[in-house]
Amino acid sequence: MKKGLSNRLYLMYIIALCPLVIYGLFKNGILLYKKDLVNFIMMFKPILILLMSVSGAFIGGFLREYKRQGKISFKMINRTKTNVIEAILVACILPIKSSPLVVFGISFLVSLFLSKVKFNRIALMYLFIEGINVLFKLNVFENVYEASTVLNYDALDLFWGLGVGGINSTSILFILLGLVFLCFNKLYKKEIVFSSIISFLILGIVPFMIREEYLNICPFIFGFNILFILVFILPNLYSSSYTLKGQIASGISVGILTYLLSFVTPYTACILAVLIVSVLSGIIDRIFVIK
Amino acid sequence: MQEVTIKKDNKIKLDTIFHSSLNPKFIFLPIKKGYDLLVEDNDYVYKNDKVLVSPLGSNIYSSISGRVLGIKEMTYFNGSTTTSLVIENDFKENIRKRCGARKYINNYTKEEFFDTLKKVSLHYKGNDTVSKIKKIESSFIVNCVELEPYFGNKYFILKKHIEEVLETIDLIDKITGNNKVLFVIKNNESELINELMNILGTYPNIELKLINDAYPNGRDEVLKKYFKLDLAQVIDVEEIYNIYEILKRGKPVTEKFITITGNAVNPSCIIKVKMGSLLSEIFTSHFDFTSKNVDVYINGLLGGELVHTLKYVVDSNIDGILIMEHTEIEKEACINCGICSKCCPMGLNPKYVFDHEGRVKPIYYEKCLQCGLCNYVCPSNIDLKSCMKGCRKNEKGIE
Repeated sequence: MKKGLSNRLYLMYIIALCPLVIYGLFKNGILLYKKDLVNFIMMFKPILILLMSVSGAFIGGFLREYKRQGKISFKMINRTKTNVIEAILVACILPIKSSPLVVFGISFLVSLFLSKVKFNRIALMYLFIEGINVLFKLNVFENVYEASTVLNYDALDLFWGLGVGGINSTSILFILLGLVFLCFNKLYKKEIVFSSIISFLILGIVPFMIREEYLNICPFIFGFNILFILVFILPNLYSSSYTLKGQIASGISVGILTYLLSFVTPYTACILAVLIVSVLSGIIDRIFVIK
Repeated sequence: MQEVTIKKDNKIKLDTIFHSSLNPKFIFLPIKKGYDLLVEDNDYVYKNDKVLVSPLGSNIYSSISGRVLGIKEMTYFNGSTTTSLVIENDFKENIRKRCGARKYINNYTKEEFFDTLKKVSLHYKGNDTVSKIKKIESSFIVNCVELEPYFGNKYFILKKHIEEVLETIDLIDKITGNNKVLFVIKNNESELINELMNILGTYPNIELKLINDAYPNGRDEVLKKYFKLDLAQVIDVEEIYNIYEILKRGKPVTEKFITITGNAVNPSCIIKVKMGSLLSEIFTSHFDFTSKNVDVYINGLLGGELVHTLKYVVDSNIDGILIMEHTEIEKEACINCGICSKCCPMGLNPKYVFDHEGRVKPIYYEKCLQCGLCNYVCPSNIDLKSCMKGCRKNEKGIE
């Protein structure tokens, strides 16, 4: 019978993220280099952050497996795949100003020591890195160009990905394409994704429509990495609910929490909501299990 | 519940020719608790003789004629090792009293019908058929859907004995008070559907119902759910055919159809065997393994069990044997995907049981059909079926 469904899901994740990574390199590297805002080496910073994150996760995971088994084998590489995917995802939502060394360190430590935590490790890694970014005042999501000009993007610009956000998480078009692509895998928890998006959209759009502030709708729902987090990070296999009703309940909770927290801390609202719900996923599932 | 279509190996094809293995050297009949032995050592028994009887009216008949050799511990597929009566075949098929076949079965009265079935104490897979028929109220389902992929017992019975089956259903329908009968077959059995369409006009109460070729649509509970007839009785087509044989020829059920198939066995066919035969004997005389390293599944790849010996006695619980080339299955840690709970036909949550083993109420295990769909869909190859049985590891018959 079968198998390799989870490997296929990870491969599909990588394929779905490729256009976003390329676009991130274009927006935060090539475009800036063309405008003479960064030098040739700094043009590759988006890729450097990604590579540092991945290598930190891989080395950390490899050492963890070596510690566990006491010998080197091919299976150890296979067992680090989850850490690697998580590292790619966290690199996508970080601000461009993040330090590659910090990213490497956090990714390494989380893979090495926090392999058995039941809640969302991506959210945890992000919050650690963001915490350090705050300390060193690096938590600025605008790149050099965006910081030097007054932005006035319309909905279509935001849809293509010109808005402010994480390194590889601004293109709504590619995120939606990725969502459609991932839905073809049986393991992808689409119920949690759709319920969270729908609940967040309802909460995000309706108040603006009541106040007739139509121009503010798109920046709110397309900004702050929210869609990327809901599509790629929320349906994490290990930390999200596994029952159908549990997934829908979790999705709705994430949508509501994101909306509420975005008034306090817009860029970390969604990831915080994901972390909180992932901690509660066990309880949520237990509510919906037929006893 | 999600319907699951099982990916089948196209190379596995059942022979259209019918095989039989009706000459076992010995037969073994289980002496279950409460059963009284009617014969002694060295007694001569005739074919279809009653040899064991229970106070509840369930009898066991000899499928051969020959001499009683004594008793021996034998293994049965339900996992039990039971003291069994051993009868040596004299290959004469002597019958004590040959009764003539009845020309038509549709002239049975209600009393005659139940008396005839009671006389031979017809049971099917441990359930009393008579009480099942008596429970029929407004409708009943005739299950012609195979329990497992690759199996063809029911298809074979229908292909060969469709008229007899329909005649018996019509009689049951008449006796139980003209009910609605749902005759359920898979929607990809087009040849059979065409044949049925031509004949069914003469049986207005029988309604042909088609169901997808998905697993586990052959289970009685699933059919009841599918047709939203929770209180309906489900009668298997093999059970119907057994009733026909009893009514027509007045003989008890001592033979059985078994599917023997797989990618490591030749031939791949439906075979008629005597109850009480030894599987290993059937295999030695009729089948060849095409691979040295094989996996043997009794009763199918999903709902059945992987066994390590063929020294099982054939009883009504064995429907088929699948011989597959050995494949290494690497188990991984649970990835929390929840596919098992989404696919469970009974709406159970195998992952919850896996995580909380020993702390789940017994009623949770009782609901489980043991269809094995959770095992099939699990991307980590976890043996959830055994967990749902109440034991993490279920090894049987290791030799």
